Amino acid sequence: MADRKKYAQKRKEFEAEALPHMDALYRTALRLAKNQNDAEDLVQEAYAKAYRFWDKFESGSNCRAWLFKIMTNIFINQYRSKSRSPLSANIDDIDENFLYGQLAGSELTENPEQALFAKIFDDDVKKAIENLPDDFRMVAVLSFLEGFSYQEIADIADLQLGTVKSRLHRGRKILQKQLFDYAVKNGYIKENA
Amino acid sequence: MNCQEALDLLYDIIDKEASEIDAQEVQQHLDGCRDCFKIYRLESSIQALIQERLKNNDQPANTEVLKSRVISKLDAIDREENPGAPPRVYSLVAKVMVAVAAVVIIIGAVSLGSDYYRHVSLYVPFEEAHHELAGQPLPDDPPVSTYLGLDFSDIGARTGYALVSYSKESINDVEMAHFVYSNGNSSVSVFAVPKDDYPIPLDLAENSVTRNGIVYFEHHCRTCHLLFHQVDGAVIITASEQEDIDLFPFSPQEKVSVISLLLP
Repeated sequence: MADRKKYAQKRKEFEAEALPHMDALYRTALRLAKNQNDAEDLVQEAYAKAYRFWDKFESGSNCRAWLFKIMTNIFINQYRSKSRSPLSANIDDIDENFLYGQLAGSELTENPEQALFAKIFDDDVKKAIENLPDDFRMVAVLSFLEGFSYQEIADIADLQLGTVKSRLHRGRKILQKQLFDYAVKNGYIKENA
Repeated sequence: MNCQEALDLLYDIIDKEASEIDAQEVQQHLDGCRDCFKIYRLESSIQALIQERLKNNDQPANTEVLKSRVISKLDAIDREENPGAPPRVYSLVAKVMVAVAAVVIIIGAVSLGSDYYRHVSLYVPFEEAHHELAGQPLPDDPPVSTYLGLDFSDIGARTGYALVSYSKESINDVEMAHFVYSNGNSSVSVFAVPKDDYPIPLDLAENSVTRNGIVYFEHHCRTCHLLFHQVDGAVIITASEQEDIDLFPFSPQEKVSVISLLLP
């Protein structure tokens, strides 16, 4: 009977602490897994694992980060595609301040907010993010979408702080290149000759 | 601070990771350097754009369905780790939520016709039924050995799994027999239904495997493995949560002569 009570208590605690983070986990899962089925499975597996290991969670510590760590781990082990994206080979070809170099003197550098926001849509950004190689996408989503700090991301994804920074940096460059190419293709901006 | 030093801190500033002192020095530099100011302005605009667009894009389609599935997963873990616990109120709540969700899904399937909704409405109920019954004891009544003219009595001998429960289930509004076999560690569900009531879903056509002259249709998702096949007038669906269990031996393969419906 005491066991049963303890068990009910555990369930109650878990539901109160962990379940409110479901929307956040799911939106990140969607960006990581890139489709709804896998994203749902990812969230479910994360909750199942978290529940099994709930006694390992230190009460009072950051439950949200803990759940993201579990989910990120499952993603790394099971879902991350094994093949390198063709994009990753070209990252180092993108110059530092590539975008500024391309855009110098154009309307964009004078009034970037207006020019960018009017023409780049939600879907364009989503596609650009999904095109990122998994390792870069993971840190980019945790930072841009969830607002985790470098240190939190390092803990969640089990990476060195320096690796987090360099992946974020390179992920940004790839994103910018993609958005720039998109804008050129659609005639929003002209490529510098 | 020179231009290079200011630009080195660009992303630390944008990500709000820079120290206050660094941030102040960068600001001083930007106040006097038009070029760096423009780079900072462009980069932070792009960052703001990416963050805002990403958030806009994240309106989950149906978190209620997801929530009910998570809850039933937790229920399954509760049963597994704490057998003998009485059914709890929240699992009733979860069932009501699943029922509501099912209605939403059916409406969704009709109006959207997307793969996602079809996936959920076709296959999830099998998973859930499997979860519900796995681990429950066999009633005192004599075990069912035949259904729809098929012999289920030899499955135990063939697989080393014992029949641990059976019941009549309504899956996607179709009544079918549900047998659960277990070897103590893992369990497999076998569903049987008249073929006219539940034709094998057409979208499985490309996942066919032929064994002993019988065509099976497989469906895999992250948490389930389903096998469909037809024997005379019956469609048999075997289901397991584990990828590595061979489901073929769990399918009754021949029609037996005695046709009886022992299920109430």
